[in-house]
Amino acid sequence: MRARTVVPSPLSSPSLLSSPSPLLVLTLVTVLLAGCAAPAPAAAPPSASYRPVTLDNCGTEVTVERPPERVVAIKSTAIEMLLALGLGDRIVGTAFADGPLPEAYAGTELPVLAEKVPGREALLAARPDFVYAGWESNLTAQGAGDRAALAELGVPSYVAPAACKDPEYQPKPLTREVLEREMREIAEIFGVPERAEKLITEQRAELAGVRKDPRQRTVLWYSSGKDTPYVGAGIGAPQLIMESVGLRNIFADVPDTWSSVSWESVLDADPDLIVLVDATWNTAESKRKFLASSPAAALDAVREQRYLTVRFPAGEGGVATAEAVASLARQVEQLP
Amino acid sequence: MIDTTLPPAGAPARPGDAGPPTAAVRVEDVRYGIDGVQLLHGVSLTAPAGRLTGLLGPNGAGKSTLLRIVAGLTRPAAGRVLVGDDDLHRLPRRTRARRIAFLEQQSATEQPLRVRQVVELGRIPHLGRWQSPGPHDGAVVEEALTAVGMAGYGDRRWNTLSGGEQQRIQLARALAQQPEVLILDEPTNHLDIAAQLSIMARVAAAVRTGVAALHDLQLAATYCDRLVLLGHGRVVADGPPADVLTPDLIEQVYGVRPRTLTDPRSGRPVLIFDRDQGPTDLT
Amino acid sequence: MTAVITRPAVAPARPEPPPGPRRSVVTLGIATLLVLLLGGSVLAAAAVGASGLGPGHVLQSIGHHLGLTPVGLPRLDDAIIWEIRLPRVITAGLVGAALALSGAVMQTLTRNPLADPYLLGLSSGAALGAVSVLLLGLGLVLPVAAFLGAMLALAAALALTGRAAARGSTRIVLAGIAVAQICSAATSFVIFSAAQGDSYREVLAWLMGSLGGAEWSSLTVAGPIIVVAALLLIGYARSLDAFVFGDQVAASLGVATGPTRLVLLGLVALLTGSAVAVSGAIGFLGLTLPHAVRFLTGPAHGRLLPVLAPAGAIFLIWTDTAARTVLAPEEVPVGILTALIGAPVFGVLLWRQRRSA
Repeated sequence: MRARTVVPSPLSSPSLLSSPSPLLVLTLVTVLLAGCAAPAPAAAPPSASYRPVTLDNCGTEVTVERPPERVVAIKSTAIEMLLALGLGDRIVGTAFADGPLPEAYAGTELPVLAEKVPGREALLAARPDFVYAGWESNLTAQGAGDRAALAELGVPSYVAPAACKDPEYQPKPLTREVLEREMREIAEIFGVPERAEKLITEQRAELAGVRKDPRQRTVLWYSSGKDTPYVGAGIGAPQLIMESVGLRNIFADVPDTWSSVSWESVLDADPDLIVLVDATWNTAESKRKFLASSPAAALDAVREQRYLTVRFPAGEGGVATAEAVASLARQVEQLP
Repeated sequence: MIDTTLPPAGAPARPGDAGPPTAAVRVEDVRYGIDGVQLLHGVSLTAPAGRLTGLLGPNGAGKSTLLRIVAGLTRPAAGRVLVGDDDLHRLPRRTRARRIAFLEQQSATEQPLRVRQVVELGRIPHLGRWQSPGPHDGAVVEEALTAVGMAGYGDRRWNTLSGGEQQRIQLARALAQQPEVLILDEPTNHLDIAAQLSIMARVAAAVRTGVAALHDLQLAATYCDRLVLLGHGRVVADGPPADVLTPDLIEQVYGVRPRTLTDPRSGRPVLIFDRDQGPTDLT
Repeated sequence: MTAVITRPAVAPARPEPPPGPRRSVVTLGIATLLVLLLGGSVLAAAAVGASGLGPGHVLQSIGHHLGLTPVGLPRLDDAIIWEIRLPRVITAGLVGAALALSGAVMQTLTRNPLADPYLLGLSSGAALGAVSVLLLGLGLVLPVAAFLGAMLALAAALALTGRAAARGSTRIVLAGIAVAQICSAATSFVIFSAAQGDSYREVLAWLMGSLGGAEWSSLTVAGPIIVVAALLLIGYARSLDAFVFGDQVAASLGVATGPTRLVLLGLVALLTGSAVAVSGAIGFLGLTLPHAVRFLTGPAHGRLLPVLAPAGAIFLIWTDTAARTVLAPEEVPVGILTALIGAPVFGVLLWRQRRSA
C-alpha cells in the first residue's frame, strides 16, 4: 500500500530553492513524516474474478497483479486502444500523440504529460502503475525509462506487439491476429476481457463489409521524406492495410515495415494510386504540394491527383487499422 | 628595448662572489648515427670550467646533434660525456637537470604565462612532485632575472616581450636551474644585433661552463674563450679563437675564405669577407 | 653627434603581490572551497526536477538510504530522487571534471589551444561501440562497449603514429583525426543500414551527449576510475608545466618526455573513455572550460587543474539540470546545451584575448 504525501507536487515548474536552513529542513521532514502516518486512501480491491496476468511482450516478461488504475499511454495507437476498450477513465497521462483524437472520441479530455517522449522523472511523477507504449523506443533509459527498471519500481509496461523490433518478436508479416491478440492482452490486463471480444467482433464485421478493389491497382504508401521517400514496405501495417483493401503495394517485396527508397524506384514502378499519411507534423496537404514539384511529378497518379489519405495512427498497427481499411476502401470506390 | 645594463665583459654577476658552481665538460670519442647515416665520427673535446666554448661548423656538420648529446638529451651510440668526473648519461634525469641547463634557439608558447612563471620553470628539477616553490626558489628567480637585466619584469606576460627579451628570459630560466653547465643551441638566431650582444654578454658573465653552437663567426670570435670547429662530424680544429678562425681552416670547412685581422684592443680575430667571396659564377 | 635615446633598463615595476601564504596553501584553499560548492551543488541540483520534489524530499531519501531516517519516501518518489536524480547529478559531476581535465591536458600536450579530449578519436571510437550495441545488438552492456571502442580507437591512433608517439605531438594528432574519421564513417554506415524506424532517436541522444541513462551500476564502475585517474593527472601538474615550451626544454628540465607523454595520454584516455561510456559525446566542455578557468587561475597546472576539476563538475551539473528542466517534461540532450553555452563563451574569450595580448 503506497502512502500518499501531504505536500502536493506540481508537475511542471521546477522549484529552485537555495540551501535550506536546518530548521526548515526539520520542519519539512516532520510534516512529511506526519503525512506518511496518515491513513492513505486504499486502492480499489481487485474484483473477485481477476487473475494476475503474466505474458511475454516483445521479449520482456510482463506481470500484472491487479488491474491498473493509473495508465500512462504513449503514442496515439496506445491512447486510442485504451479508449476503444472503454478504459479512458484510467488514463492519468498521455504523451507523443500523433494527432487529434478521431471523431468518435472528439471532446474527450485527456491529461497530457508531454508533447513528445517524457523524461524518466516526468513519467514517474505521474505516479503510474502501468505504462502502455506504441513504440518500443519510447521505453529506453534515454526516453521514458527502461522497461526492467520500471518493472522493479512496480510499474509494468507493455509495447504494442506490432512495433516490436527484436527479430524474434517482430511480426513478419503483421496480421490481424497480432492486432487482435493485442486487444485481448490489454483487455485481460485491465480485467475487461469481454470488451476485447466485443471490439474484435465489431471490427471483423466492419472488415467483412469492405469491398476490395476489383481492379487490384498498384499503390505507393508515402509516409514522409523529400530527398529520400520513406514508404510502407512489405511486412508492416501499411502492407496489411493495402492487402485488406485489395491494393498491390509496389514495395511489397521489401522485407521491412517501412523503408527508405529512391524516387527512381517509385517512378519505375509507376503506381496507380498514392496513399498520403496525414500527421500533424507532416500533413497530407504538404505532401500533396511537395509531390507536384518533386521528381514524382511525372507520375500519372500525381498529375491526376489520385490520392488516398490515411490518419497517421491508423497507419500504424493498432485499433485504428480497421478504420483505415474501411476508409481507404471508400476512397478507392470514389476514385474514377 | 636597448639593454643598457650589460655587465663589464668577463666580470662575475656579483663582485666579491666566489662565483657559481662550475665543472669542465669532456666529450670522449662520441659517435652517433641515425637511419644508417653516421653523423658524428668519434668527436672528442674539452670545454673548460667557467669558460664559454663555441661550437662552429656549417649546417650538417653535426653541431646540433653534438649539442644535444652534451646536454644529455640524446644518448650517444658510443663514447661518453663527462661533467666534472661524472658520466652524464648515467646520472638520473633530475640530477642531470640540476647540473646542465639548455637554451633553445627560439621558444614559443600559446599559454599566457607570466615572466616569473617562465623563469620558475627552471626550479622544476629542484622541487618534489607535490612541493610548492618557496622563498628560496623565489630568491633564485629574482637573482636570475637580475642577471639578465630584467628585474621587475616578473608580472609581464611573456608573450608581449620582444624576441630579444624572450630569449633573455629563457636564459634566466636556464640560470634558475642553478646549473654548472649552460648549453646553448644557436641562441642568437632571430635576434637583432643589440639583442645578440646582450645575450652573449650575459652568457659570458654568467661564468658557468658554456657550450654554445654558433652561426655567427664574429660573435664566436668576440665572446668565446675556446672554439671547436666541426666538419662532417669530425673535429677539424680546437683551440682559442685566433688559432681556429684562420683563413685556411674556415675555407676548408665553410668553403669561403675571409681575411683576418687582429683587433688591437682585445687581441681577438676580426674576420673580413670580401665581396668577391660570393658564388664563382658571379665574379 | 646623434642623441642617444635611452630607455630605463628596468620596466616600471608593477606592484609586487604582497607576500602572502605559500601558494600551495592558497590553491588548496580555493580547491577546498570549490569541493564544498560541488557538494552543495549535488544536493541542490538533486532538489530540482520535472516532478517538483524539493530539498526536503532529497534529504529524506538520502537519510533513509543511509539508515539515518526511519521512514523513506513513497516508492516512486524515492525512485525519482535515488534512482534518477542522484546518479544523474553525480555522473554529471564526474563527467564534467573528467572532460575538463582531459581537455586541459590535451591542450598542453599538443601545444594547441583548440585541442579537446576527443582529439585521439576517443569519442568516435566510443560512438562506434555504442551504435554497435544499440543497433547491431552486440551483446555487451552499452558503457562497456563504448569504453572498449574508445580504447581501440586510441590503440589504433598510437599504432598509426608508431615510434613517434613518444616524441612529437603533430603525428599523433593527425593519426587521431584519421581514426576518428574512420570510426565516424563506420558509425554513420551502421546507423544508415541498421537503424529501423525510430531507433535513431536513441542513437541521436547518445551521439549528442546525454545523461539521461545515468544509473548507479555504471557509476560504481566509472566513478572510481575517473576519481583515481583525475588525482593521478593532477599529480603530474609539474611535468605538464615543463612541456609548455616543447619536448626539448621539458627533457632538459628533467622530465622523461616519452614515458610521461604516454602515461598522460593513457590517463586522458581513461578519463575520456569513462566519461563517454556513460554519457555519450558531450562536446565543447573540454575545449572551453580550461580556457575559462585558465583565465582566472593562470596557466600553471598546479593551480589550474585542482580548480578545473570541481569547476567542470559544477558546470556540467547545472547545465544538465537545465537540460532536464528547461523543456520539462521533455529532456534536451545536454550536449546541445554545452554547445549552445560553450560556443559564445569561447567567442568572448577570444575577443578578450584579442585586446590583452
